[in-house]
Amino acid sequence: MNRRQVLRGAALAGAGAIGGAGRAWAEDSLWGSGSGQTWSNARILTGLMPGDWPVELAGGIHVQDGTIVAIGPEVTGGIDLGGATIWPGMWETGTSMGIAEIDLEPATRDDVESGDPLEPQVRVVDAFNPQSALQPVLRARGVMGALVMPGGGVVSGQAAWMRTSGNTVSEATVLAPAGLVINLGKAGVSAGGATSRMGVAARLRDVLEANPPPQDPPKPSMWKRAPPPATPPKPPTRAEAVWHDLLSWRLKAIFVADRASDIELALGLASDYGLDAVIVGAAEGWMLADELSDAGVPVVLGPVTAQPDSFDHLRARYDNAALLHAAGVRLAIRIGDPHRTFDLSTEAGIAVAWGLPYSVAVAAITGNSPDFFGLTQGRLVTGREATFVISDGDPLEPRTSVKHVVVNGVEMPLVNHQTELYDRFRVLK
Amino acid sequence: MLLLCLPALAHDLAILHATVLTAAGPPITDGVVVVHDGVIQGVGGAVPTGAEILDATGMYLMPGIVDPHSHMGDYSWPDSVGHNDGNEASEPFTPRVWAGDSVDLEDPAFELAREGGVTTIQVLPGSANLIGGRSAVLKLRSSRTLDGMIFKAAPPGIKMAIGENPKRVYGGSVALAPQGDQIQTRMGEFAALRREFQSALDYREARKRPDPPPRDLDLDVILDVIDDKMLVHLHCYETNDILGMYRIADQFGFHIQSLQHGLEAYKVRDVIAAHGTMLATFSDWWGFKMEAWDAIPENAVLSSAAGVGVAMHSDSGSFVQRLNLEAAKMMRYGWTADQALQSITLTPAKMLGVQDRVGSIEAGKDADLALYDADPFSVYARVQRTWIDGQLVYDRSQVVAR
Repeated sequence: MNRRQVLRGAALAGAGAIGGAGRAWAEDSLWGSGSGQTWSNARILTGLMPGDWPVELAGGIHVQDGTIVAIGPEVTGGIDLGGATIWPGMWETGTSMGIAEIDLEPATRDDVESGDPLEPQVRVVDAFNPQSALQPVLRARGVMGALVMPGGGVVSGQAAWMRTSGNTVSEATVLAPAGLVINLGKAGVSAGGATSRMGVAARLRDVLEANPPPQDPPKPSMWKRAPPPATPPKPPTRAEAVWHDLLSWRLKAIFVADRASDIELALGLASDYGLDAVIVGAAEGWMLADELSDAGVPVVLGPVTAQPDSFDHLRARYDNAALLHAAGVRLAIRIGDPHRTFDLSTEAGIAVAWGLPYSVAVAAITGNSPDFFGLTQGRLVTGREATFVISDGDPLEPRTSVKHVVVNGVEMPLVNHQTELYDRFRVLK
Repeated sequence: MLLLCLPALAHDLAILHATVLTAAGPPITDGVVVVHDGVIQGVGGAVPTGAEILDATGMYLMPGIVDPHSHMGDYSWPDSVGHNDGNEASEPFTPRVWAGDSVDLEDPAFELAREGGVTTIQVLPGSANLIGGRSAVLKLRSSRTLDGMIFKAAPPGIKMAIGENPKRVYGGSVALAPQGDQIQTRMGEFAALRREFQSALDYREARKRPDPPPRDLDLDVILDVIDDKMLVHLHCYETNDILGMYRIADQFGFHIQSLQHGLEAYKVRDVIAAHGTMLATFSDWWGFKMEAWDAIPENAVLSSAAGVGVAMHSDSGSFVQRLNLEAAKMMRYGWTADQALQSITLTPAKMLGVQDRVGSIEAGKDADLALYDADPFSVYARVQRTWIDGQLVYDRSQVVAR
C-alpha cells in the first residue's frame, strides 16, 4: 500500500458511507456529526490576526456537534497528529468556482450575464453547481470556500460566499447575497455597455442617483398634525431594491479595480455615496496605501504574483501586500484562478518572502476576507464551526500536502476527479 | 560593490561557502565554484589569486534555470494589439516563420525572469498552427541586439501543435476564426499533416528533375524535419493526439523530441518512453479546456518514473519567474530534490540540445548560475544574484524597487 492509499484510506474511514464516484457524495448531510472527536499533538494556526488572539498554538482541537469546544495545549488524546499542522484552510475571494467549470466550454459557463452592463438582480446562487468537479479537487487541496463572483459589465450581479462542500446549493451557501460586484477599469468595459472608464463611472453615478433609498416617514410631532397620508409608495422593483440595499449598507459594494486611478475612483464613489466598500484585485494598491488605510476600506489583493503585463497594472509588484499591510490597510489575499485556487497558499508564501509577516499572510488567505463580510469562517476559535485542514508541514510551502479535511466536524473524503484518474493509471495495464 | 572596484580585465570569480546544487551529483555543502572567462573552471579546488571572491555563506547556488516553453518577446508586455506577435495564424502551416523575428528586446518580462534565476529560454511560436514555425533559443542577456541573446550553440527546433487549438482557429464555424473554414476536426488535422509531409517528399523528388519547381521555404523546413535536422517540440494534451502524432512521425520517419504540455502523458507514458520523447509540462494546471480536463498533478512524477525525461515549463512570463516552486510542488508527489532541480535545469537543457553547455554546474560549462538566499524549493527563497556566461545580470542588492 503506498502513501496515497494510506492517506485515502484514512480519509474514507472518517467520512462514513460514500456512494457513487467522483462528483457526488451520498452522505445525508454534512452537518453536525454526533459524538465528539479530538485531534492532538499538532501545530495550530488559528487564522487570527496578530493582536486578536494567539495566531499559533501547540496542542489539539476538540470538536462536538460540528463546533470547536476546546483548542490549545489543554486538548490531548484522540487522534495523535504527530506534529502536523491544523489550520483553517483557504477561503478565496472572487472566483467563478461553481458557476464555470471549463473555460473554453460554453456549456459549462454561467459566470457572465452579458445582457446589460448593469445586472444588479443577477444572483450567483441561481447558477451555482454544488456538484461541479472543481470543488472536490479544491477541497482535497485545502480550499474550504470562496466568494463566488459573477463577471462582465459594470455591475455583474450579486456575489455569494459558497463552500467547497455541500450536496445542495443551500448546504453550500454561507452568505448570499454577499455583495454587489462592480467592475472598474477595463473589466467594466464591454461591447454594448460602457465603452470607456468615464462611461463606467457615469453609468454608476446615474444609477445610484436615480435610486435613492426610500426615506423613513417623518416622525409625528407634538406641534404639527401628521401630514395627510401620501399615495402609498410603489414597491421597488428587484433591481431598485438592490440599489437601495447598496446605498443603505445592507449590501457590500465589491469594487474590482487594479489600476491606481481605478482604486481612487472606487474610494471616491464609496465616499460620495456612502457605500460599504471592499476592493478586490488592487494590483497597484501600494500606490494608494495611505488613502486606503485612511478610508478604512479593506483590500483583497491578488494575485500576489500580478505582473506588469497589462495596461491595467503596469506597476504591479511582489511586495504590494507587505506595503499595504505596513500602511495599516486591512488585507486579505486572493488568487483569482478557479482551477488553481489551491495555489493561494503559495501566493501567501510569496508575500511572506517579500516582507508580509507570516501570521498576517496566513490570516490573509483564511479568516480575513470572510471577516470583511461579517463572517466567522476561516478562524479556529472555541465556539465556531469546526472546519479545518490538517497538513504535513507549513501550509504555505509548495512541498506540503493536505492530509485531512474536516468540515463542520465531519472528515471529508479526499476523492475527486484527479485521484480517480491517478488510481486508474497508477499502474499501466 | 566589490564588482565595480575590480579592474575591467579581471575575469575570475570564486563563489565560496554556498550549498552548491550541481544537478550533476549530490549537493555540495560549503562549496567552491570558480569561474574563468565566463566558464565554470571547477567545483572545489583552489581559488586563483586575484579572483573576485563572493562569500555566499548560507546561500544556495544552482545552475541557471532553463525554460523550454516561453513566448517572452513574442507577446511583449504589457498585453497589447501592437505586440501580439506569437501566432502567425494566416494558414495552418507556417514552418518558414521564426519566433526570433517577433522578439521585442524591450519586453520587461526578460528582466523579471532574470530576477527569477532564469538564464536560458526557448521562445516558441504559438499553437494556432499545426506547424507554427521555428523556435529561438535565447540566453537572457540584456542586449540591444537579438544577436546578443541568441544561444548560438542551440540546434534548430520547430513548434508543432495538435488538438483543440488549430481546429478552433481554423474551424470556420467558430465566430472568432476569420481564417476561414479550413480544419474542423482532429481527423482533419492529421489528414492535413499527412498531406503536408507528403507534399514535402513529392517536392524533394520534383526538385531533382531537370525542370525543378521553385524553392518552397515551407517545404524545405519540413524536409529538415523529416531528415531529423530539427528538434520537434509538439504542443499536445490528450492521448489520442499523442498517439496520432506518433503514427505520423513513424510514417514519415522523424523523431519527436518533446511533448509540450502533454497533460495526459501519464496515460501513455510507456509509449512516450519507448519513442525517446521528452516531456515539458505544467505542475498541476488543469481544467481550462476539455483537453486539459484529465490533467493530474502526478503527471510529471509518473512519466519520469517510466523513463521519460520530464522538464517543468512555464508557458508564461509570470510563472517563468517561479519555476523553482513549480518543481518544488512535484516533491509533494514523489520527486526527490535532485529530480526537481534537474527538471528546471539539466533536463530542459537536454530537450533543447544544449546540455553540453548549460544545465549543470560542472567544469567546462557556461557560468550560468542562480544564487538563492535559502533552499530554492522553499517558497521563502529569493534569488540574490543571477549570472550568464559569468556576467552578473541580476543583483538584488542593487535593486531599490521595481
